[in-house]
Amino acid sequence: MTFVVRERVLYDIDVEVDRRIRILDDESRARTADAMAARALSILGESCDIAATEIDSDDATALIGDLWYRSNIPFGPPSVTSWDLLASALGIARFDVSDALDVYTRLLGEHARALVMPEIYRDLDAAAREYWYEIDGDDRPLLLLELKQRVDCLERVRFYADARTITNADIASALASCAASPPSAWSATELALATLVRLWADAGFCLQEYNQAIVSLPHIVDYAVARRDDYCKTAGIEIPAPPATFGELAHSLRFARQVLERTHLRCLRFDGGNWERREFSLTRASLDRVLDVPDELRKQLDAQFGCDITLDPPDLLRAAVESCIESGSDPAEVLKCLAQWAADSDELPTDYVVITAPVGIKLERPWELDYQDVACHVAYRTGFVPSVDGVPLDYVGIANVIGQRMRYNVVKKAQNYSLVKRFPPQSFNLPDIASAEDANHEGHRVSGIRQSCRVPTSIHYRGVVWKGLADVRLNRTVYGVDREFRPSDIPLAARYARWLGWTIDAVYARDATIDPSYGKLLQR
Amino acid sequence: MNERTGAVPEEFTIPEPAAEIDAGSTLLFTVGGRTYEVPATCPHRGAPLREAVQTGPFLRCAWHGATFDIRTGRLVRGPQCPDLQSVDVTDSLSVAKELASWRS
Repeated sequence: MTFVVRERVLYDIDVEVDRRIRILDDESRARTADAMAARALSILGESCDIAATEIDSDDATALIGDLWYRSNIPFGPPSVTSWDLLASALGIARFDVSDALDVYTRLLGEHARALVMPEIYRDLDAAAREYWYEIDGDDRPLLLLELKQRVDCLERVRFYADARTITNADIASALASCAASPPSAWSATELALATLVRLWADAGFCLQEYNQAIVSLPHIVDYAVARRDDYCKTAGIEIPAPPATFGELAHSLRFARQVLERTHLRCLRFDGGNWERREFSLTRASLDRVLDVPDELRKQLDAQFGCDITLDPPDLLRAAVESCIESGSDPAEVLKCLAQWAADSDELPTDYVVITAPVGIKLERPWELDYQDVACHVAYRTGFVPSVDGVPLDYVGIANVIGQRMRYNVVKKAQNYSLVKRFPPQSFNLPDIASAEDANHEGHRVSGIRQSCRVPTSIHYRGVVWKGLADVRLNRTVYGVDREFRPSDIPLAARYARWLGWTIDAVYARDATIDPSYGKLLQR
Repeated sequence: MNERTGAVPEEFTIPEPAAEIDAGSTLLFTVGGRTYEVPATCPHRGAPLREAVQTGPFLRCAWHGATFDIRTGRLVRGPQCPDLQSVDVTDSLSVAKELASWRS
């Protein structure tokens, strides 16, 4: 057995990401929320506004606790300027920083007033509307309608505003409404939603990291500044001063992300139970350090296909593909060998591994790919029995449910490359780890996708790089915090994706294809 | 045996993970010196709450992260599902009170 030594810094990332996604599980924060609720109720009792709210003590405590949780997403305790959320909850103020400061001060003491408030917070409403008036009046509606289409194609968004959940459809509706009127006529929620979406489009962060958070201008600025500063800190560059305008915020956030991406791979952590996501980054060097093909797998490739086991990984896998094809076998056999090795590996335990890649046709124009043009294979861990873990489907059922979904994903993602689209494209993914994946997804429930780790890879065809059309997915069919994938698992999973890329590129380089049966449902 | 997977199809069964827990079974949790009785299964998908993690007043189901405030039973986070039926049983578990009642 080969042991892979994981870097200490990766464990630090594990701890930090875990802390950020389990905000409500932190007992000290729970106590803070309770103390806040008690103080806030006391203030409510002194306020004449309480009569108008007509809520009982339990309801008020639950409301304040909920807002406290939402205002902690995604980075942790909100800044002083986000206390408008609480003020809003109390019915005292709405998106007014000076009133929010007043509430904050009454809650936490006079020293709160001494805190530095960056310029942009002083009149956020005006700053946000100015951000929109910078765009020519004729271009603004077009930009809003373009953003509406992008949000329509995006994976699930779950924000919170006006005491309800805000979905993709709600955002699209708000953007359409904004397109029909000048910014001065937009409601506070419309302004905040439109501004958040435009910041996302301009700066290129993961919009869903804002899931479950409250859509308000102070919290949006808090988030964007924290996200920017986190990129800077991780990339080792100077953290800039707080922005003076939304344009400056978008520009500096985009720049920080681009600098970070030179040396780091951005990844996501999902909580499937509540749609929360957290972004984190791993150094590309940490991924490269585990890329080598282990000795056991080299020997297995040699035994099965006959290839020089001393070659570098890309050459080794190319040699395996060539030997396989020359012996008259389907090149999918090499992919299956890799997938089975991954499924049985002790280094990163899993119950089954899913590999997906185009079979090798239509690669000059992947936007014309159909389901049957995409190969998908599921390799089960030796000894894995679905029913033992309470998975409703059997081996064939799992492979078919997952296979069709994977083919759908590739076909939809390929639309990103076409100007004339057959249907709305699906956005490209960052590598991710996820827990509770079956909480809100029937396909995941029946196939036992509970804890997963997904890493996309690029394919190369005649000098063109197509990203997002192939990927590797690892799945565990068990529940429990101790069984979840961790950020530190991603380098080991990412190497499978790189191996898949090298292997499938070798197939395409020979103008060979994967057998068409891998693009179809399995028969019993 | 399936040619592609090399696996032998098993019987198609849909197990009932919560079936082993008797209907009506309950668990006791303590928050701030008071004791609360709640059902033994999660109202989301029937997961056994004996595996849940308690943090202060919050109880987080081990399966899908549904999180409840034990004191009120309210769902405070996680997938949509009914609230947990929570009952404050502190007084009924008081030995002193029981003794007083018994003596009388």
